[in-house]
Amino acid sequence: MLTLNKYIFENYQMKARMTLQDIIFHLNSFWGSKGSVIAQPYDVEKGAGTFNPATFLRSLGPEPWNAAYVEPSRRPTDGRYGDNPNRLQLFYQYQVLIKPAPPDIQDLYLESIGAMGIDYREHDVRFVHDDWESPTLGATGLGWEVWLDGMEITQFTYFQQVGGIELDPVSVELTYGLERIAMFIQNRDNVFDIMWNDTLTYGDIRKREEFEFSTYNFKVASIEKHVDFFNQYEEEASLLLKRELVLPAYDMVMKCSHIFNILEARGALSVTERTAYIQRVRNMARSVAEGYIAAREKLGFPLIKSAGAH
Amino acid sequence: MSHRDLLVEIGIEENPHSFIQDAMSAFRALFTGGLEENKISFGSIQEFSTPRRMALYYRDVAVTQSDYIEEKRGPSVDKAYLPDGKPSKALLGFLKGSGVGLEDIQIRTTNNREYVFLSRKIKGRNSASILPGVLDSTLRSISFPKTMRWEESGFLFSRPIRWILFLFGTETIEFQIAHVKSANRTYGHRSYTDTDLTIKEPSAYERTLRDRNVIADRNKRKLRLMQQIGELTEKKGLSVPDIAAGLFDVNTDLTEYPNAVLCEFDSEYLCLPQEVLTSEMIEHQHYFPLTERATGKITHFFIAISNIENHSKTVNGYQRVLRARLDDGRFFFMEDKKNPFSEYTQRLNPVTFHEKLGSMYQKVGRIKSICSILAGMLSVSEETKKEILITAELCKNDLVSLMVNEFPNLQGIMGYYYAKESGFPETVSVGIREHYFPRFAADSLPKGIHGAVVGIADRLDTILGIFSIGLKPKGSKDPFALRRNVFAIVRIILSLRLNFSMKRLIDESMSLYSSKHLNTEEVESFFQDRIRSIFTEMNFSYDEIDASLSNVLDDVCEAYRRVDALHEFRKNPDFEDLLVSFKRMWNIIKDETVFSFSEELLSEDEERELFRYFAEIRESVKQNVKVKNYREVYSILSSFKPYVDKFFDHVLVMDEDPALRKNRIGLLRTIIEVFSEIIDISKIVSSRQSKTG
Repeated sequence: MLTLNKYIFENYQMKARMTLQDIIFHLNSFWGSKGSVIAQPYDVEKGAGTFNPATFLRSLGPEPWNAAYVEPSRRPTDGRYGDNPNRLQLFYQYQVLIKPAPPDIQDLYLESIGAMGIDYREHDVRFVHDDWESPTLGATGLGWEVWLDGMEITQFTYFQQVGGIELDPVSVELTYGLERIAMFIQNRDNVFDIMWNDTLTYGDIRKREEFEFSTYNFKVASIEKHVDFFNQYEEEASLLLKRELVLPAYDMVMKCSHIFNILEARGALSVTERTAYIQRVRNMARSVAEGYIAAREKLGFPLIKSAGAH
Repeated sequence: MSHRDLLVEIGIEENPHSFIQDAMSAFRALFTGGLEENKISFGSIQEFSTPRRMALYYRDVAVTQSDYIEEKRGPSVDKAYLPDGKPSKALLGFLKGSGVGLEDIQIRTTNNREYVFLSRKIKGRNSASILPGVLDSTLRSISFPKTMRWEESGFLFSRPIRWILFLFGTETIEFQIAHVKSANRTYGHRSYTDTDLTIKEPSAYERTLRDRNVIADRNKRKLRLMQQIGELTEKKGLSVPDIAAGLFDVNTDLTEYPNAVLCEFDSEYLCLPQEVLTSEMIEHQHYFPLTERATGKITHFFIAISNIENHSKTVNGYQRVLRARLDDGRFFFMEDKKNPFSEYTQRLNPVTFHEKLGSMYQKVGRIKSICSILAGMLSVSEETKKEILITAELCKNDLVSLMVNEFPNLQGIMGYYYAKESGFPETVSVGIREHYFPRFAADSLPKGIHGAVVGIADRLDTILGIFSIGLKPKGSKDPFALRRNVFAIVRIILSLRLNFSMKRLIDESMSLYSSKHLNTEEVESFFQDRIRSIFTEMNFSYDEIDASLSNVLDDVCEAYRRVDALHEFRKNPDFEDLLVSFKRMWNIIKDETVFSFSEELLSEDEERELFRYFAEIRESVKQNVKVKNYREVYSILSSFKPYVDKFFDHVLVMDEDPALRKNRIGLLRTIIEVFSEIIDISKIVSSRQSKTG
């Protein structure tokens, strides 16, 4: 039942350390070989890979889905101007979403660890209870954080609800923290010391970006304009939903969510305001989720057919 | 063979560690109950649990159900037979419905009436045919704090079930739930086995798993973990502090094959407060912090529990994770100390306490006002009062520190360190820490008056504030935990024996709130109800509480001491009898409005003796009531017994002569009156009644 991906594993045992891009290549090739669509990051700012339509929307409804992709994830409040060895306002998640959740998903996951050159038998791999909730997306799930020798490297979640809608079938979501895994593999204590490829470090490529965006998020972003942006995008979402243009409407939801994160980083929100903004995003997310299922139904849930023909 | 061993193992994806023990006892109780209900006999039971499995092993389970007598009541005899003795339609219907004939019935009497009874021996069925049903209803009935769906049948469980081992002797019992079919197979430890393991018979289960590095017996696993920790710490003269005691269970339920690994961190981090170090280790990582056995001081050693044996590659990981966390901790600590602690108060301004009650800064202002009133009511020196107000001023400051932001449970503790660092007196620093005590039912209480007064004021502010915006608790809804706040206030008062009028404190604090919804009587009755139920939880009986709690809000502490004294004396059966006699006195006189008393009118010896004795002790009772020595009062009351007994044996209170009657009522009233300040006799219920009522 459990076999390591021998080819990849043996190939990379020789190499002293796998670079960040190697890790991504091998996750892509591993999940690709397991039938995943290797999707791409979505070109709107977002807080996590879950926001990518390849997860948020595709987890809804009866159609099967299996995708893997890297997602740049923005958390403005976590910015530290590039000074903190462990915190970033933008980091990379590797996201896998499979619907319905396959019965051997834990084994597949462990195999994927092997694909990154880590023989899980020599390490202490643990599935530690951690349920997940996204108030803005109206989403909840049950699962674990996966520990590798005490370090959390993956969030492993069986979705139960998305956009306030009970899911049937249930999807499973794997979210790998790429920087942490790279730090583990390369034995680095500072995220900026990770080797991105054989010559450049993570810091060479991203450090300045952390500084500029931290400065922008914490000090420069105009509160007034962002409040206005939020209202505009919210209005646009509602217009688009009326026109049954669910996908563009969802872009607006992602934008609103990110704008809300910026307002929070600016310290512009009181507790009550914060709750109200979350509620507004959630309402939009729910309408989009309902609209998406309706639209797919109109199309006759086409992916069910293609999966059947497979 | 009439008996076989039975084994059932549910294989699951890692069960949340905090669910395991409760789920296991439910599993055992439900399955065992199912066997009993179906009259399937069995011998001893053994249970196994790891994060990935829950298993029960029954020895000597009967292969068939026990034969049993089925009994069924039919119609009553008068309805079962016609006047000519032939069976009625009712009886024939009953026979037909049960599939039996006239020869199978008997007549028996129940409830003084004769009935037709069916009584027949039923042959037991094969246990194997019954077991699937028992397992099915067991798995559907185990409750978890949270459940999930994972496949299309929509079955709910804590985590996905992935295999079921169901063996009766060497036979696999067929069973299916949530698309999982039973088999005679299990799985070993992930790091040590690739394939499934066949279990030939139940007795091979534990050993087969042990060979694949799974210690399925939870107790053995915990013992192994404790022994290993014992060995590692023994060598170095270290020990596990009490605060980490819960980790033994946590780690037992997080592993199938626990291995204790001694690790260390750079001793430069020891400059951090001990609580910060232990929080980082315990809460996030489930690591055991270690202290020096001799001094109790925290050390730079810790123990991580690994799920595999060889730790050549894991130690580095455990240490690195902690180092990153301690780095964060040190950064927070240093940053927080850059500003004088007193400056933090201003920063509470943007922190909302409640949208309708303003900021934490405003809350602190009200806490100070209440402290000032309360300190005035308690006999504390001017110096102490000043310090209490400083404690109040600083008590919430650490909420805006980086450290408490990261570790909310360090609130108060960081305040202690930061206040000390900024040069405030120890009493103030300790008061900041203690004002949160008790944080939970078994928590310690403030030892100093500073923490006690600020703690009472903080909680009273929450209660009055929430009442003032119309959100008082209703039914089971108490989102602001106001009931628990009263409980904490009462415990603090009792532990430090604080004598003051809660009523006055409430009254005088009212002006701090907009009074739209605030009603003094409502708040007072909320307190009274709570105190009543707190005392009930302390195992005082209802009548003891009712009898002692008049004017409780005038002095909660004394009310408690009165109940307590009454409760203690009541354990003596003679005293209980006496209370009954006093209650009898009360019943005789309670409705009598016309009475008078004069010593000269005492005519019988027994009433004269009762009065003489009363006159003797009257002053002493008054004195003891005054100095609140309730036990002595009850001790004196006890000594009344022989006089009271004799009085009731020989004297008729309701004498025909109205003058004698009025006089006797007067005598009894005078006596009861003296004790009325500490006990309301009318509320006493004799012990037999109070137990059933």
